[in-house]
Amino acid sequence: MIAFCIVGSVFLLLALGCAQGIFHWLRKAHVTSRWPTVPGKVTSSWEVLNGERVKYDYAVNGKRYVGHQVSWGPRGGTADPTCQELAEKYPPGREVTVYYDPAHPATAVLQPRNLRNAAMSAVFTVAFGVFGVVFLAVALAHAS
Amino acid sequence: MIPWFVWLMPAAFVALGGVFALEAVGLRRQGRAYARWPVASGRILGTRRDVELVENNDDRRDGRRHEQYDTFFGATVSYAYQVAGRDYRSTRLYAGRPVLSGSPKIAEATMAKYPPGASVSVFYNPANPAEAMLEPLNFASANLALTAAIGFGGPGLLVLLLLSQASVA
Repeated sequence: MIAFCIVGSVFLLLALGCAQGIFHWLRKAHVTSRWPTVPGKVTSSWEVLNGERVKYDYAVNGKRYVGHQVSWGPRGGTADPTCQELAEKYPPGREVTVYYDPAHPATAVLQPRNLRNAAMSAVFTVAFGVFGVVFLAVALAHAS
Repeated sequence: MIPWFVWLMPAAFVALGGVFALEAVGLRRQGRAYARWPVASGRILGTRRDVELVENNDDRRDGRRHEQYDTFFGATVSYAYQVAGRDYRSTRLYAGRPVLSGSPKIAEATMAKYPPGASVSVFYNPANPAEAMLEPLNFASANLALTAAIGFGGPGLLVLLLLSQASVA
């Protein structure tokens, strides 16, 4: 039964780590969605359909920048938008609203409120949490 | 008396099956709505066969690691079209994510259906012409979601039924 307790505790610790991830991504979305905005233009080609990164031009205080960041978080997950979905949302020449960091205008993003990462963290929090509770419940049921 | 936590796993399977069922219904509805989009004339730019290897299992009979893979095939069809004088390109065939198959036949049939240079009818979203597709009534993605719904929901429901009978007995 000690083994069940240990496994349950490990799952609950993992759930706690994932719950921390939810707050990290929510805070990031909250902070960056309050960044100042400027109009920008998508300058990447249709090669986005073949995996090229989305590229957009914008200017802050007369200085031009090129941004690549569409939303926050690691790329390549199964829940991430496909090349096709990116090309549909950001075709060449499309006018976009660019959120830039006022302290470092080269850092910018198009979708600061994208909560995909927070949602993924929530899914893993629930999954690990359920497993943790089940293992601990089994241990307690056998102990009583 | 069956402990409460025994019900959790089949309940999770039923919930997952429900999510996939909702996705299947949504994709079918979307496909029918997309079929009513305006149509532009387009041209096939090219086709590409996609091959994806998915690790299956390890064979350790001789004590050494042999990775085995399942091969899945798909086809990417690139096409160009014009709306209001602007050029657009897309690779979308139908609503939802492209479905890969264990057999190359479907991919080969798709590539044969759309030879480079051929003229095609492109259904485009009037609110966002960059969003377009060639086969709005192709429900491949919806059918895959339906299969997943049955695959998860069916066994989950069966186990729940058996558990409820056992708890009554």
